[in-house]
Amino acid sequence: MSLIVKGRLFSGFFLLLSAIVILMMIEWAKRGRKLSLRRIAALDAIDEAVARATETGRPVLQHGGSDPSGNDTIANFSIMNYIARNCARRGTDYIVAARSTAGLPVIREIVSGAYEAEGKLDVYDEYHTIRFGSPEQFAFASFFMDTVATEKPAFTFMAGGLSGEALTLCESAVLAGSIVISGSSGQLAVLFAASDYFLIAEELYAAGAYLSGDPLQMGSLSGEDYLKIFLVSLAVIGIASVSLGSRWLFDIFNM
Amino acid sequence: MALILKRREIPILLTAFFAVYMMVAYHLTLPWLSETSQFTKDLQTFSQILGVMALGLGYIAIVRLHVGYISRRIKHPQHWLWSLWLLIVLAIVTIVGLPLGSFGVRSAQLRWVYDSVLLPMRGAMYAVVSFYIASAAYRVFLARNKEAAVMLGCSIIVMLTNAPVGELLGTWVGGLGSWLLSVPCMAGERALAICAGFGSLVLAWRMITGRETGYLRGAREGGAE
Amino acid sequence: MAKTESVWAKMSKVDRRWLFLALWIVILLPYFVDLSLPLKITKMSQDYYNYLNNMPKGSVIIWGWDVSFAGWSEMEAQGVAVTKLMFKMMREKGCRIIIMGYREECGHLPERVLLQLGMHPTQNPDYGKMYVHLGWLPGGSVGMSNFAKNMRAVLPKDWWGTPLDNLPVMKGINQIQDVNLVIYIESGGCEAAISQYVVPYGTPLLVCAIAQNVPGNMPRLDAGLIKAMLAGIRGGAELEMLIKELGVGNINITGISTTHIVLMAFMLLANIGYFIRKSKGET
Repeated sequence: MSLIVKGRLFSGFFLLLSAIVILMMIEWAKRGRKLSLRRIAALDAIDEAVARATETGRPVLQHGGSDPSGNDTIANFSIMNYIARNCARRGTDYIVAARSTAGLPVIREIVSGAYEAEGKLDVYDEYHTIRFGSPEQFAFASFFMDTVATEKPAFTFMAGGLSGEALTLCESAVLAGSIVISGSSGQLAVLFAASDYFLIAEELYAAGAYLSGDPLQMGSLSGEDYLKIFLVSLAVIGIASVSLGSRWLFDIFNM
Repeated sequence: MALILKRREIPILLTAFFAVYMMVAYHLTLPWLSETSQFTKDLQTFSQILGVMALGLGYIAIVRLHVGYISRRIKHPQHWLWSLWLLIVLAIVTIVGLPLGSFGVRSAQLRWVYDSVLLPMRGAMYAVVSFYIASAAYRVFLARNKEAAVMLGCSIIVMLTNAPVGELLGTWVGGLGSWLLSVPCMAGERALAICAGFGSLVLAWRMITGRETGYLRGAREGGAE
Repeated sequence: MAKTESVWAKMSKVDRRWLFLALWIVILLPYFVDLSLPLKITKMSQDYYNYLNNMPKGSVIIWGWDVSFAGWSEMEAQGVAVTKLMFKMMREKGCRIIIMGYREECGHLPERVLLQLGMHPTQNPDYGKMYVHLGWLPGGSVGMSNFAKNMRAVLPKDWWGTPLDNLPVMKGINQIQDVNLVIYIESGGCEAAISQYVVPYGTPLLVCAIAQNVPGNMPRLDAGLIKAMLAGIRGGAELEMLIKELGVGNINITGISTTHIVLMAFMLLANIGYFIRKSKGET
């Protein structure tokens, strides 16, 4: 009997390869290898948007993400940490509209931790800053729209498990005069069209690394690029071999 | 004890251990380390239980939050009377859903709550999306440059493909719309799915190695360790 | 003297409420005026119908529900039409139908459809012989994974509390390998079904997709992970025509046409206003 489940050898190999490549790139970054990322306009715009909110005296509103076990929501938490610290530092009003009950304690910890790190815990008001709407999609949408209409934020950031309600949230923020930056790996079309800036899939996942500027995290992103090169090469080889009538690559994938 | 449990290393270590275990168990056939091994089954059952417990946790969180609003007589952001109303409705629906007498999960009363309250309200909110789509389309679909013009053209073709009225213009509309959906759109979606998959994989490895800690208190700006 | 806005500027800045009012009128219009338009059956819907219709005699089919109450307004046509088709296959080919839900609402929604079709246990004494409603399976992907390995361990009873061992329909069925087809109606993505049923076990999957998820499902359809797909209200309306039982899909599809016309008219208005202002140097 084989040690590896049939049909999963290649996926196991690829997981192992990805771990090795990423850890290798992190190690290279530790040893001082200079890495640079291309500019991501949406993330660069966050600072400007928070500054605009400070100047106009209007708040910053952030979507708290839905299911905290989802990758989008975890990426949103890193950005939340960044925006919260930015707002605490500048003294800008900051509001998080939380949707998930399981994520609510996480959001509380992140935001209060951010204010504490900036030495502004005395001005932090949990009831004002963290507002829980509803875990249900459209109940939350109506809550978010009401918050936007009441608070008239200058800057709205939305990411983390957005689905059918995404356009409603985005458009209501735009109509209230807010700059909207959003990110998603799923609802790309509607948010890309409606937002001022948009984080497309992996840009959202890279946000933590990009905003921190931490060389070790950036190392992991460069590892991702090498893996993509590997995959594209496999795709090209596969297309060529199938065109020539051979399916050896499929046989390897199915081993 | 509380101080030990608050240490950030604990969630990072737990994440790393269980993530690596599940990844390895998915691929192997060893009796003690596979998808069908007892520990794996127990983990999955535990995960299901945690998911259901999250519902209970959510219930308690909502009650705590709104009792807090009421006790503080909060008027902003939402008047405390709305919190009181929420708690009343929560209590009513809970009682109707409990297995007491004629009540219960499959009772006619709870079915009435679903059919007459929840279904129309959620349907109404979903219907609002169509108005916002129209508002966004009116604002966004301007042919400011070549790319925007192409987007405008494609959106019109796809709209006509989906609506029967498009067929009045000829069969070419449906053919072009199907081609747009099954060739360029699919190519783009495929690329985005691959990129999103890679991004998730790298994010997962960063979390497993303890590099991505944005979800933990006290992380450096941007979530770095 | 204040400069008045040109008519072209006004065209680009029509108050949203006029747009909403126009939409409101054209959405309601088909309910009062017969505006039936010809509806051509697309290849996607035809493939879906053919796949389902050509299932062998005695097949075991899971009819999985993962649609929210909000999404039900769009997915009702597909939900009812597919259920009717499956009951037709149950009667004509002896197929066994296992209905189940993957979110809280989907214990109730299938029950609603069963009541509508007269197939609720209180209406039909044959419930449990060839079809069953297992109710809500909690736990998301993990729940589906456990269900695939041992159904009775996760859902030992049906939605009304009858043990599965007492239901003839579930005889000999305890793992996903005992199932010939999974049909999945969704308003939030079908990734879970693909990762828990299709990839590990190779179970064929048909998807009833909400319109906004159709582009995202196209690569999966092309790769064979999804065998066939219905798309939004139009898919439901086409399936109603194929099974020759018109329903809400055919009522609502005319509204799609009228709203699209209004939408395109406003888009045209905005673009005309924009281009003329641009040519005059006003933008």
